[in-house]
Amino acid sequence: MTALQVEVQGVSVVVGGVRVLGDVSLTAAPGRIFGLVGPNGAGKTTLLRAIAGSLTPARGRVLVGGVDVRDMGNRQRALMIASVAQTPVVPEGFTAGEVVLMGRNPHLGLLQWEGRRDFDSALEAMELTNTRHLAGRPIESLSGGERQRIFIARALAQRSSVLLLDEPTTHLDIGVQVAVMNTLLEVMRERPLTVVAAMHDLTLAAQYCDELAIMSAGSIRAAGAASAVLTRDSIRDSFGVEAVVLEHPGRGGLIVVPGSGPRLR
Amino acid sequence: MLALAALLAVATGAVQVPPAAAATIVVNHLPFVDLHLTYPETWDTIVWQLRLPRIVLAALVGAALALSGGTYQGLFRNPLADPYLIGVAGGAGLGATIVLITSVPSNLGGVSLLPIAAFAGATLAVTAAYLVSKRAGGISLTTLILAGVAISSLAGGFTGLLMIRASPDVRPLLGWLFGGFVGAGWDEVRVVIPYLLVGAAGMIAHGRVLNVMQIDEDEARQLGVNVERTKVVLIVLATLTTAAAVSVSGLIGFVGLIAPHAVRLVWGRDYRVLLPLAALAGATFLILADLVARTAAAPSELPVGLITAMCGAPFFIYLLMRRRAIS
Repeated sequence: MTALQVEVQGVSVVVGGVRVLGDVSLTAAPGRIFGLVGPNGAGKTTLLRAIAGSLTPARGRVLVGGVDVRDMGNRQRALMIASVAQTPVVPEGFTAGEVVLMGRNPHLGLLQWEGRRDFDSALEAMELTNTRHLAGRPIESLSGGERQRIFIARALAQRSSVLLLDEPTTHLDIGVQVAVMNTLLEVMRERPLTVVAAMHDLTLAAQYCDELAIMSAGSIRAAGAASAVLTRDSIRDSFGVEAVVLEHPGRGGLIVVPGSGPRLR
Repeated sequence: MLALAALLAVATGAVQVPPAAAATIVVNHLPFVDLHLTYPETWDTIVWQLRLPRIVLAALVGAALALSGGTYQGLFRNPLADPYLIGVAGGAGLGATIVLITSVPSNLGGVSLLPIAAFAGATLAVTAAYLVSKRAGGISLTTLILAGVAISSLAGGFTGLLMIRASPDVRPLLGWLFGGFVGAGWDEVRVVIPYLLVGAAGMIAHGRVLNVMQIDEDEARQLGVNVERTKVVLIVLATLTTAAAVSVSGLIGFVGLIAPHAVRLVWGRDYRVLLPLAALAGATFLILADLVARTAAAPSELPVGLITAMCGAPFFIYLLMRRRAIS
């Protein structure tokens, strides 16, 4: 199995008469992490949903491994693409382990119960996300960070070729943020996986993403390597804030520090 | 539990038959069994012709309502859904009444039209309740119940109107409307069994999918569930099962609410386990409710729907209050 390429070709999305995504194109290289950054309302979540096949673009198409996601059945699509929503719904009354096992749903027929392979996949995903010890706990009793790791584990248990993450590290402390991103890198070393992630933390995005696209008002302003995309000018244009972009003293990444900007008015 | 309740119900009544004797009489009627019995023949008639079919029917109807209730609850992600409360039973009742009272033949080519008319009425009711409460991204839970109550009242109104216009003596029908198993025989059992078998098998088969659908529709879709098709299939199955139950027993409320919840409290929410257990619980509950209905005010009978309502309504209020306490 090889990692699949994700191609977004001229996608426009209209919701309630408002164009929330206008003619967006990008290519996420197989086996890499592609980061989406941009202010709230820039269209990152909508773009991820379009890639996931959850909404129908008014124009354009999304190809995963060369196949239009709208032409796939739900199950076929779920075998190829897994996603973790920004704030996933917490299915009360289920244990964390049961929630992770739900990731195996696309692999199972209507009358089939989970078997050895499904339990192995779920266990592996929980080892990777360091959540094995939470398996028996009710999901609603977990902290925000623990839940987030469980939902990532569910997506990993799905064993898809593409993983879509909508702000996977928001609301997490910096230790867990780094742990989540490192886990992704670890998984990607072990199996072919293409990741598209919406990120809020620009420094973290620059550090972990192989390629970045900066969005605002439903379009991509710039795409490419972090150093080319995250500049003073592009950050001012998209976020409306003056920022200082520094080179990381240690390993050559970037550090983005917001400076002066507007007030909420 | 189910067996014990059934045995108790077989033995109890105007004529007390010792449980052991009742059990042997039942066994004697199984195919290939021929015991030499010394019990009076009236006992045999009472057990086999009068009590047992009624108990079997109560069990089947209880299982049907509990399964449908559990399925509606899972499907609408609403713990308060019940075939009676969301108007399905009322719609089914109206459909069945039309066949019973008007000149529509109740039997076509040997197939009873009652469940089919009930199904048509129930489908209309559930579709209406669903459409009214549908919002972008899901179903409004409060609206669903309110719409169900409104539809129930509307269907009940039309049912009453039909009854008053049709016949001066509506008392037998009125009894049916309140729900009950008076005069139930093996014929009713035969009518309801095929629908229940198909419905139960289909609903239980969707157990895992129902689990995944507890998350939300968008995420269930991303886990490979064909949400739209699943909804249609499950609504049809649950509605069909409810309609079959209503067509033989009238409107019995709250079984579909109590049974799945009792199971949920004890065994958790895995629908693969919950649905079969709820069926057993519903069957047991309705056998016992029917036992109370026919013995509490003997020699006259209470409508069994009255008993289930008296147990169910307080339980419903308790659930409402607990819900408010959580949110």
